Amino acid sequence: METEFSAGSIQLWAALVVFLAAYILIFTEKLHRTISALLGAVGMVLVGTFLGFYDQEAALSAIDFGTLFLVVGMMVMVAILEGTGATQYLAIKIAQASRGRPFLLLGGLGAFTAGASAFLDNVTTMVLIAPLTISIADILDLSPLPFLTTEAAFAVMGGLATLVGDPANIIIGSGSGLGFVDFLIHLGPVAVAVWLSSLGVFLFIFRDFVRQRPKNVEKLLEIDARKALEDPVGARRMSLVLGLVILLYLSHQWLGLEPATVAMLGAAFSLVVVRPDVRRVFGEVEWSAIFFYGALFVLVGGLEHVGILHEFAVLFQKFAAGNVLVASLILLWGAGILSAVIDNVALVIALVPVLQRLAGLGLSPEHLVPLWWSLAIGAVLGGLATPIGSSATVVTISLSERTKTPIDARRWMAVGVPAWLVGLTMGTFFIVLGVLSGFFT
Amino acid sequence: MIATLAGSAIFLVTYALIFSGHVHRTIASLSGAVAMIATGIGLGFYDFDLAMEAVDFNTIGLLLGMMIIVGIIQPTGAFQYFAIKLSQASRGRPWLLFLGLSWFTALVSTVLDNVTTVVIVAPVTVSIAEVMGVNPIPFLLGEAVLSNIGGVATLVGDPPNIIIGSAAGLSFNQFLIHLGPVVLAVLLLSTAVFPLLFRRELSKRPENLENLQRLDARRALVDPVTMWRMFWVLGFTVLLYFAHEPLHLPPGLVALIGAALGLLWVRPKVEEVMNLVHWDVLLFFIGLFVVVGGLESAGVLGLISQELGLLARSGVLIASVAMLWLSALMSAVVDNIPFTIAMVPVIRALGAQGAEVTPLWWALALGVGFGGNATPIGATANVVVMSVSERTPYPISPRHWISTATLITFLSCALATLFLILGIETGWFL
Repeated sequence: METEFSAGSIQLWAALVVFLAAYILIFTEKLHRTISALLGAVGMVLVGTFLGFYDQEAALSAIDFGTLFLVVGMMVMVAILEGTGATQYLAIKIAQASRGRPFLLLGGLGAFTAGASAFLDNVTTMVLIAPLTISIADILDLSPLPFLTTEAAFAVMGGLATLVGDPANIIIGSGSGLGFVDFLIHLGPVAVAVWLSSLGVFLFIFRDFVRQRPKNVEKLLEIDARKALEDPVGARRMSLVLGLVILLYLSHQWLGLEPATVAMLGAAFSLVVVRPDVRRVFGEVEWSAIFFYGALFVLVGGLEHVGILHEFAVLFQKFAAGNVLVASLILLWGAGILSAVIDNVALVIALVPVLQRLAGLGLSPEHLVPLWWSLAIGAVLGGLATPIGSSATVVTISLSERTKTPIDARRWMAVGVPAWLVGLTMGTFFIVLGVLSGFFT
Repeated sequence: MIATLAGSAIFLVTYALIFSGHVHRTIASLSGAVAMIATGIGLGFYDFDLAMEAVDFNTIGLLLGMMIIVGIIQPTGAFQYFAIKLSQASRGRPWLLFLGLSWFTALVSTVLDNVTTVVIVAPVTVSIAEVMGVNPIPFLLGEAVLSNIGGVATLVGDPPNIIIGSAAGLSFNQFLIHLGPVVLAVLLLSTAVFPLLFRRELSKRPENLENLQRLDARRALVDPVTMWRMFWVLGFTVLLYFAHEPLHLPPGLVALIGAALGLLWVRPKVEEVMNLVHWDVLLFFIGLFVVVGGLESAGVLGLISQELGLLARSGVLIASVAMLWLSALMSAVVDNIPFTIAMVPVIRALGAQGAEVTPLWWALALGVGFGGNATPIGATANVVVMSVSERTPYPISPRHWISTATLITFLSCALATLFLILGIETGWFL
């Protein structure tokens, strides 16, 4: 029921005012972001109902349930996995394999965090790994700061590699119809390149630190990793389920299953196989985040219905002069800079319909593909620059407060800004290469 | 043909699992939903988008909104405060106490989730009975039964009504006008019958009256500021419900407006409120809608509706009375939510056959609402009351239940039948 309105129409202004008010409320964080988004969504539907451009039914169809259920399904699996202690077990094993050498430990834990967060929720990954890292660093009498900052940065970068790694990617996947394998092939190499180059940067930044000799290595080796494994049977079953889910993700396009169906399939399957306490598992799903996403979709849907996003797409098209490369780079750096200060989910939910509109403006779907990748790279990696840019960083910082060297804004930026620069530069390099070689189109 | 067979098989297995209680109902319904989608994609009759269309998100939004409102009120201690005040006002006369507590529960249940109401009021009742030195069984039974009855009165009173209202497009006022009088009559009847059944317990003089009067109700009221704010929010939400049809606001939106206002005014910790929302129940609903939607897409309901045409032609009166008693019987033994969700497309199909379906919706609402009182497992409020009583020296036995609540159930269904017949004959229920 999209209608064209003239630029001065009251509907258009009303929708814009509600949208901007809600987004400003979200970004100032005067209220919890979920409350702000809910107020905005309810306001948009109310205004829309009275002015006749939007109603509950239209709002419900604006919600991308594919995204919501994908997130719910993954969070359920993560909650069950968390209860088994499998992640902690693996992290201890990796630390022991490094024999406490800071250089190996940094690389090993960083790689593990990146790998885990490619499939699991970044925040959960950090909540599981950060406390363990702090205790391992304590035993070795090393400062936990370099480990924690590296892990947080790697958790963010890891999320870039797959469709399910970061909420921004999930939303882009659902909005663009690009599948799990598409993400893995196109963004996987970018993510790996970013990990490797920023690992080099981190090792340089912490060059004195990694040359240190650790103390009490024998104490680290004495830790019985199996003790961390609270539910070995559950852990084994969950690794089977997760393996199956990854196989399904790899073949979902071929099987005709939406990613959300795969995630819910995995969630249902793990609930049946592990039989955890259902109330605990559902209690650990971050419903306020799901609610926040849903409300944002409703809010942006209102804008879509008054045609503003269409206008915006036209403007963007003109600005980029129809050049895919220019458009991609604007998107990459624009999203990269904006995500440093604002929630990248809020940004991506607003930009997805704009990109969808571009397809109707003469851009063929193939030309649209590099734009999706640029948005993903910018939105995911943009969060690295500031201590509030990503939820993984926020959690790590608050967990570091009980150590002797809590991460403050300055300490974070010393690592985050170089990582951000390296990430976006690498991204630019890949986008240019991808567009010119035709790999991204 | 394979699609219909596979669809029916998944539906039957899911419902059997839910009703057997061997697996948590949310796990059963989610697994059924996922199996239905995966099979549907394989056989080409269903997919994720169709499944999402089958989910009645107006119902989910309404439940969610009301759960958030309850989640903000619950920690304030308002329920406990009023329960204590009411008992003190009864001055220890057991039958007055019975009247006060059970009608309070019934009244609150017309607007708020009755399970939450009972979860909070039942433990307070036990403590009050303990302080007074009387047997808590009549009070607990009365609260459970009357809260189930009270919930039938409004669109938002119990989950089946929410589902029915959303599916049939019936408004809050239509529910109140048509079902309100029936509920009032049934409440009066139950209040008359209950004291007769419990005349021995309720005629006993309480032992420690002064202890009761010495209770300080204000100490139960943890957060009076929030309580008052939420009263305003709740009052405003109920007003909006009265006007939701002329304002073109769907009930789901009204509930979410209330929730948004409450969150904005009270500013609670969002995570804590979110934890009080029963997400497992919401997912249970979503899974059921998806399963039944798959059944519809597989063409099973199309097959049944031809058989149903026969029923439709047998006349609206017989069909409605049959619906009422069938629903009551089913709800007595199984969870009434899956039953209601499964009946929705059936009634729609009947409507497509040309039957007058409005009385059928009312019959369904009355049947599932009252039927749950028949057995201790018929409604969640009953289960709560049973488990609370098990922690006292006077556990409610199933025999207690059958000898009292079942009689009430039978009487209320009979009374509802009378109303239904009168309503159809006079055209009021059409």
